[in-house]
Amino acid sequence: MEQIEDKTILDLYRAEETRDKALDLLISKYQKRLYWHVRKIVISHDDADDVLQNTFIRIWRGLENFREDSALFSWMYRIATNEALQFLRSREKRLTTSLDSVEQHLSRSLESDPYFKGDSIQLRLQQAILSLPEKQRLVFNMRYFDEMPYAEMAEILETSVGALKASYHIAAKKIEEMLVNAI
Amino acid sequence: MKRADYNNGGFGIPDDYEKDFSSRLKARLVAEDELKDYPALRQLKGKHGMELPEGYFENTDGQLLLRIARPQNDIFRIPQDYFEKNRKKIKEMTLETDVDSAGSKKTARVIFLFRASGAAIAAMLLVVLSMWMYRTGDQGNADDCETLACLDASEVINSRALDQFTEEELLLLGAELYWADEDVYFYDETDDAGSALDKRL
Repeated sequence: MEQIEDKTILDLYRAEETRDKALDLLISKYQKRLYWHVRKIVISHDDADDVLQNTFIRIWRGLENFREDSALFSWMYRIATNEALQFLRSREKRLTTSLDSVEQHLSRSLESDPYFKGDSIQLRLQQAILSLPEKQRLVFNMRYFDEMPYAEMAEILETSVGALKASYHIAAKKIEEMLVNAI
Repeated sequence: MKRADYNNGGFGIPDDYEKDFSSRLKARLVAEDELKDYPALRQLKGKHGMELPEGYFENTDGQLLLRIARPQNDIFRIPQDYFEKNRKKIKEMTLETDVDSAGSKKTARVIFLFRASGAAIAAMLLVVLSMWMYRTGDQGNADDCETLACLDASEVINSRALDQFTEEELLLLGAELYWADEDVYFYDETDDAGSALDKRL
């Protein structure tokens, strides 16, 4: 499918009779990117599926108020990030009786996840990422896996480029050490 | 938009492809360059090991649309101002006092839930008390009993005052001990009550 521009989607959305077409295009264009972004945060496919649906519902309901002072993609990414983090926090509340943090829980569940087919080093990499603080984890995933430019990340995470670069390098150094120690 | 402005066998490319390509390539080189000090991460680049169920994105399209899409028509309709009218109606029905048509106030009828259960409890107490009195009535005369039948045989024997009893009384005691004994004791038919008592004592 030819890549539809965001402006076209927004124009279709604003006209009542083409609104459903806009939704169709929005999902087709962004679901994969948003899915993988969410999946790397929540780890499990089923959870990612839930979060993705909630994300699109929130996007659709909020599209009316989207002011276009940022790119549509950045705005959607921000919603997806918030939804995923919110999901992890609610999961953490349910784990209050356990001594594990939600990251430790995810790290262990990864080993039995039917949709994780990575080898032992890839498993170690994911576990190392999960051991990072929340913000470093986000930055690392967006940069290392998605190769997202810092300027775009700054818009999504509402942080300066300098802070993001520093976060990424600290995260990369920690993970490298963990991987080297594991080998 | 696509164009096919040079001899490329009819294949076109997006308008800004060349510009986009160079900027994407530069960004990628920068991203890879950042990992030059991290060989393990460089080696694993792009491998996250996560997979998807087969055909997931093809199916998700429809699911998302179903969940998000607004209904075209409201299938179920309600009368205009239904909720407003209903709110008033419910409020009237749940008021503690009602104003009747004549304008006088009816006081709310109070139903004592404990009235019926109180009678039941009283009846039950009466039955329990009667049973207790019936069962304990005989024991009230125990002090008045002056025969051996009122005493336990072991109590009599333990009193060590056997010589105070007549022979007949002792024989009766022996017979009681014999029948009360749970141990296997084969009674010899040739024995009389006196010899049975001798064996036992």
